[in-house]
Amino acid sequence: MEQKTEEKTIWDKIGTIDYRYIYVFSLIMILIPIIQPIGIPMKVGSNAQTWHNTIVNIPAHSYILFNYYVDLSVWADMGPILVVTLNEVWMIPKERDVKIFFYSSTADGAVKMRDLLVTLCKPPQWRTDSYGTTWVDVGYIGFPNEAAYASFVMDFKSLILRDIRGTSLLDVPAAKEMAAHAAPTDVLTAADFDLLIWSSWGCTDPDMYVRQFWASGSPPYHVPMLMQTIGNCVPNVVPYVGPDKPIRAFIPGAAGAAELEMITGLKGDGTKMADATDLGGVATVILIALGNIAYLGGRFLGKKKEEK
Amino acid sequence: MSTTIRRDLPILLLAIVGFLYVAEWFFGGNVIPQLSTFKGLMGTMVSVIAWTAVGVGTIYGISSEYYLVRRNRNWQQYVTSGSMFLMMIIMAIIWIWQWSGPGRAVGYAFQSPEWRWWLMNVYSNQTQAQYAIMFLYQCGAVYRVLRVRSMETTVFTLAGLAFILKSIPLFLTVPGVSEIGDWVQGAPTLGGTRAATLTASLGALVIGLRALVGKEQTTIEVK
Repeated sequence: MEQKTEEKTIWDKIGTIDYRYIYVFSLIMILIPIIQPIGIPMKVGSNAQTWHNTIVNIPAHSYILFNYYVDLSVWADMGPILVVTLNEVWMIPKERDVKIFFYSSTADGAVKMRDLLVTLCKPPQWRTDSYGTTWVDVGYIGFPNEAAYASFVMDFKSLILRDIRGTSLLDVPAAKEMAAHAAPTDVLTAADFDLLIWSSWGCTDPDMYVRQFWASGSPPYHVPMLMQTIGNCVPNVVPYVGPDKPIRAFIPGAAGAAELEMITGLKGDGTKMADATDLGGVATVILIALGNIAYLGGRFLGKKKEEK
Repeated sequence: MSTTIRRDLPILLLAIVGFLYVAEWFFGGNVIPQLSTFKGLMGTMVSVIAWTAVGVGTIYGISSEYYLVRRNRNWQQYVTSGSMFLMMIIMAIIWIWQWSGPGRAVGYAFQSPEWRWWLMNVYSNQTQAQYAIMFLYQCGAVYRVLRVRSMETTVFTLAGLAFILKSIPLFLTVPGVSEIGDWVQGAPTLGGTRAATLTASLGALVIGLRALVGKEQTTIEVK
């Protein structure tokens, strides 16, 4: 009986490395900066700079709508952006008279925010003392679908009755003042806000937010936005980004948070996470290179030895 | 049940609500303010219906898990399903026990120490670990899949590589990487995403209109 055996060439071996070795290699690459931070150099991108400038240069007497979106599963990637952004917002001087309306579109956010406000994102004393007049927090709002958002942008009271302290929404002085900003003056709508800061790792959410906070309304609300997301969603965000477009800037993942931390000097987990992102990325590039070296080597240089 | 109740009536209701929604887009606000009021009311109703659906989904989930245990009577299934049921029972007890009471706001359970402990110490770590494991799968996938085997995979690999390099701060310090990444992001990616968005939107519009006039098969099929 004729037996046919194939001996693997070096290219075959490089191209068929056991998954377990790949996982171990990737894991080691990510573990390195966690055990010993490296401080890999990085460059501040235009998005992070625009983000920072938009908050720092927000006109006096503006109203900010801030969705403190927290999904604990992606906290490592998106949490640092929220922390640095919230701290930047708190740093807006009192004289500017900028008022903020907080809500969370995730249940995790409502819980996590309580921790942040007493630890990593503690507001200045004057903000704490002026809750209700300079800022208001309504906690978690469940948005099951876009129709709920459509209703929300037209009248916040359609989904929110009270703030976190149990006060009826329009009895909170800050909310009442915001409602009076644009017609109808007794209804809180998206039109009352000068800036929306939001985040999501749902890649189709930019479409929905642009539809509801920018395109809808009569006349259209045209609320400029800053958006936090994860790296995977970048292709879905870019069509809407620009100085005259709905999303003025976006921060994709913890690496972007590190850039913000560099600009603001507010060091946080973003800088640590950037090292992990860097080495994780290096691992990815090495693996792509390895796979292609194996393929091209096998195709152009390798010949399988056959024994009969 | 007759097709009038099972098919025609729902389509009629769908059409009325749908067309009023569409009309609000064009004639809402100051032109016909009642349309905007209607849209707001419907939004609240949609929210109520959707959350009811979540509740119904939970009941379905529990029953299907129960039948799964009955079909697979082995220890692995007992552990998997048992841990889920145990968590649900514990959470339900916390919610009922802590929901409200003297000196507590309604919905206090969300902020109760028990709920927070579970969220921060169990749920948070478990979900983050799950998300992190995806990175390992991704590493395995790029190694096997992103190879220049054909014109299509070559383009895919190069575009993906440019995008990966642009997403990693370290590589942005290498001259040219940022520019190439910007071009990939600003030209092919932007064009592709816009095309996909436009196509999906047109498709949704067609399906929506077909549903509103009772021509969409998935809406009208009654057996």
